[in-house]
Amino acid sequence: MLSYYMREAREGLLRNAGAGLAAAALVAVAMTLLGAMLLFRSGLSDLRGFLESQVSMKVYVSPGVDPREAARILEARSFVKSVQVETKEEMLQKLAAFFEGKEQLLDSFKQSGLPDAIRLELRDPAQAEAVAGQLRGMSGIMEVIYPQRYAETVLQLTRQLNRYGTAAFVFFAAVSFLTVFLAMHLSLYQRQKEIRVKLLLGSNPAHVRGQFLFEGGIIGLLGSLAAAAALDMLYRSMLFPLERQFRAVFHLTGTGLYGVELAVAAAGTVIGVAASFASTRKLMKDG
Amino acid sequence: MLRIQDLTKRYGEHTVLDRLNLHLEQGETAFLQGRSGSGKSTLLKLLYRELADYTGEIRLGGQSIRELPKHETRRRVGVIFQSFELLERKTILENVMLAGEIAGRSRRELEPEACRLLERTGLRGREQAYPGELSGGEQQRTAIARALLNRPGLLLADEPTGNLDTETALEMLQLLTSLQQEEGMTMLIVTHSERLTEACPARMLRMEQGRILES
Repeated sequence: MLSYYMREAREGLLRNAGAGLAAAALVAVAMTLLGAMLLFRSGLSDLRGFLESQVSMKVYVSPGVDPREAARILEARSFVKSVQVETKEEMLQKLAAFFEGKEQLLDSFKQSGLPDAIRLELRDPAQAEAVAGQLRGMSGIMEVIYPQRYAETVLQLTRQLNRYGTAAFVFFAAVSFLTVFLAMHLSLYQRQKEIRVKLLLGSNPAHVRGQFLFEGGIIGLLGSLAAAAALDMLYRSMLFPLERQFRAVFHLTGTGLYGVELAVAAAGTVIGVAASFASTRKLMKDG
Repeated sequence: MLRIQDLTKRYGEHTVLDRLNLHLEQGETAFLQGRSGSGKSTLLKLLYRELADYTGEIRLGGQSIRELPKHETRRRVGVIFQSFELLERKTILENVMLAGEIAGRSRRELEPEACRLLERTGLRGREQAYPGELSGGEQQRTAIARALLNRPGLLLADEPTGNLDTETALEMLQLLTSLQQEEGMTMLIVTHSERLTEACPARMLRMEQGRILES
């Protein structure tokens, strides 16, 4: 029966190639959006996790305050595990290596009122925000920089990606559903005689419908396989180099990518089958 | 094989079949004649269940067709149409095998049987031809082979020679009756042609005012 379905689906797709291709292309767009959203969400989630797990914090002291004295005071606090003073000179030394060949940029740093700093290692990264608030209230402290504050920005970004990404996905999924629906409707129209003859010869209406569901599923699968290929390219050209460079931050493995591709393939096929299911409802009523 | 009791079919106020009774034995052949609009096609459509909503009883092989799923009835009843109803995009062999494929049988299993029927209907060597490449007579032979593939207990032919010239029509009728004898099925042929019924000795039925009269 499967070979019969496959033969009939192939014949149907070739007969209606233009509409089938258009429908598959739209499924591909919707599924690429879905897959890209999942990949970027995974990347942002890794980044947020990394930021939140950081225990370091940088405290800039006001001009005129002795950084070593301030460090001694901070070291006595219960939430501090260790301190390390970083004077303006030490910081400029580090920057000199960074700005090698662009000394004019380093000069602008030298002329600026770069303050001395203290690097704190906290006992509990979860307390970072509360500690930063407490430190900002202390006299002699100019600014407190800690990675967790960027985690909130990343979270906002993730929320926006979820909101707009989901809206775009839903839109394209609906359009691709409609296109598959129309392609299958056209196919049903073109094959009215074939359907009638099959039913007259004793075909079970559910089997005739099954043939069209199979065809819709193939359209969805073809579109989503194209999307999976696009996602693979996106991963290899953009995300994989980023991961290789920041191993400590990003953890999307090949298995994770295959998981996303599999989800995309399944979702595309479901769209194809569901659209075909909707377009063949009348066939079941008349069968 | 076929027993119809008090079959009534109405379209609104118009009664097409009026308490019609008919009994056909296993292996029996009958011609059904009648004027246009006398209800011949309606009777056939009820038998292969293209129409529903009737009163009375139609029993096939002792079983009421109401108890059978529609597709199951159609597998037990072979139908030959005046317009052949072949699929243009399929070859002759594929058209014949289609009747078995939709019943879940594989092509490998069906091909020898389909080829045997095509040989029996004089179409050997034309298996890969498409319906558009065949004459009307050859197309009807293909339709006959297709109708016989599932070995139906009852074969219905609705004006099977209506689109053929007299000589080809006679040939076709001879083929049908000899196949009917070989396969042992019951056959009901609707026709307008007096020449055909004269050429073939069989039970004659006439439809008048929604009832069947023996001629």
